[in-house]
Amino acid sequence: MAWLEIARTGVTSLRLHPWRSTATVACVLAALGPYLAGIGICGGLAVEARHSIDDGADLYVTGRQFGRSVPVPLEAAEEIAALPGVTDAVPRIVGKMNIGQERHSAVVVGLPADRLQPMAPFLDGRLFSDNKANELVVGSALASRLKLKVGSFIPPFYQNRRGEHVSNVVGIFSFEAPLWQANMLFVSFDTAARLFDQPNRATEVLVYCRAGTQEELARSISRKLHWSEPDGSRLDVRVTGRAELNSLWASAAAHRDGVFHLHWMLAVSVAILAVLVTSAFGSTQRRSEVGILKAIGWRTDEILLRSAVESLLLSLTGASLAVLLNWLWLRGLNGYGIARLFLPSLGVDPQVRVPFRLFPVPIVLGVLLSWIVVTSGSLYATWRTAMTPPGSVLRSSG
Amino acid sequence: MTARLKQAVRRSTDDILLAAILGLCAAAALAVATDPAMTRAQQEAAGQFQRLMHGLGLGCHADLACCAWQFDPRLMGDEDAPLDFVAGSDIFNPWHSLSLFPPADGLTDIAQQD
Repeated sequence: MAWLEIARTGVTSLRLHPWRSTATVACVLAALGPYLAGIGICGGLAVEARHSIDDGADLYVTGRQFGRSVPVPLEAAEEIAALPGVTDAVPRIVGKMNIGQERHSAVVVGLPADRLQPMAPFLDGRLFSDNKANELVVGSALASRLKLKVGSFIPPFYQNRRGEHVSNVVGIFSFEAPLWQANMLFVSFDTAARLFDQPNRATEVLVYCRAGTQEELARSISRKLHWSEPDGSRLDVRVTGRAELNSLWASAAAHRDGVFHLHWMLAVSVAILAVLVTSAFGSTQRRSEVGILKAIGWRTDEILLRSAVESLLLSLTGASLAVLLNWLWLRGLNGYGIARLFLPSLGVDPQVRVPFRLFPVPIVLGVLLSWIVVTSGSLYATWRTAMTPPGSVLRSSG
Repeated sequence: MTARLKQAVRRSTDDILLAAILGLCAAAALAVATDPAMTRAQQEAAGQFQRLMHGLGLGCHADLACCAWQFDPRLMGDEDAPLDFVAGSDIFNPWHSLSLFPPADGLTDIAQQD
């Protein structure tokens, strides 16, 4: 019970030195805030990337020339579909195009209309139909920049040898759809072929196969499929499977962690200020306080307990504020102003839901680290003072 | 009597301060605990989007203009990964996410598609 009473005096110590406490909490907040924001966005991206791998095709087949990925002939989809073990093979076009007077960058994605999933809930309007008109489903950020609405018409923004046509916006991805729709022009395969004036090519073929046959099928496609161009040059294939994507994603996440270590080092250098505040700048106050406590009969371990509780409460306050501020800013305000720092292709107002997910482990580690930083600043100075006779402490601290 | 009153006031102030700190901690813990439930609908939307696209988007970029590899490495091939080294850190590309130092104007990424 006596220990509990002594621990309670840690709260009193917080109240007695409001500026020292505020400065320490601010330093913890400055160190932990950006760390948790980055970790949260990384976590959100990781969850959505997992869907991209798990809910996507089993194999991705592209052409290969000069060691780089290139488009494949359209008939590749039919050839692949005829292979044993393949349940479906869908040609897709993904390419870059500029649109509007300010030449905004758009990601054009073309898929056959008859291979689309039923109506998506994250869509305002409807999906395109497979007809001769250019029907577009536009990403939320692109639609906002171009001031497009469902039913808008866009004058020709592409060049085609057979002539250009006005395009009709039939749908707009809502804010809730994932990050990658932000600048998308989602169109039928034929429309994408018209936009790029590439009538008989697909940038990749998406292959679905029976469970357990992925690896064998990937080898079979690599071995059997290759084409000769009219000029006699050879076009090989490159097959990417789910297992390869998983390892690639893990490696990319490790790269991002590396970048983040650099930022964390910056954050920790800010946290060192907390150590200075609690040890050096606050040392005169602390010395006289410890001297008085010793003079009235407190033991060294009791003084250390008081100091440890004070440090724990300071780091808990800083860490809790960091979690809440991040949560409010990234979940409530959708990362307004700061999302761009972490996701560089977004604007100040992201116009797309910023991926964000708080996981307990990094938060607990952050709290632990901030407690160590704050405690190491105060505990050693307190112990040194407590070991000195109280008379000399009080004399030296005036 | 006055001293006792002062002590009682001090004690209740300490209690309020402690309660405020514990309340802050509880609010932070609640935010972390309820986060997965709040994102469940978003995760369903993410799954439906990926089924619609047959799997597209795997990185931190929302377009192909800056770094196609960080939009989706499936479009590029893994050997084309543009990476630099930073002393004291891991591998780093200034076009990738979590960079406090954006790329200088006029520079182009080696992973640009065109």
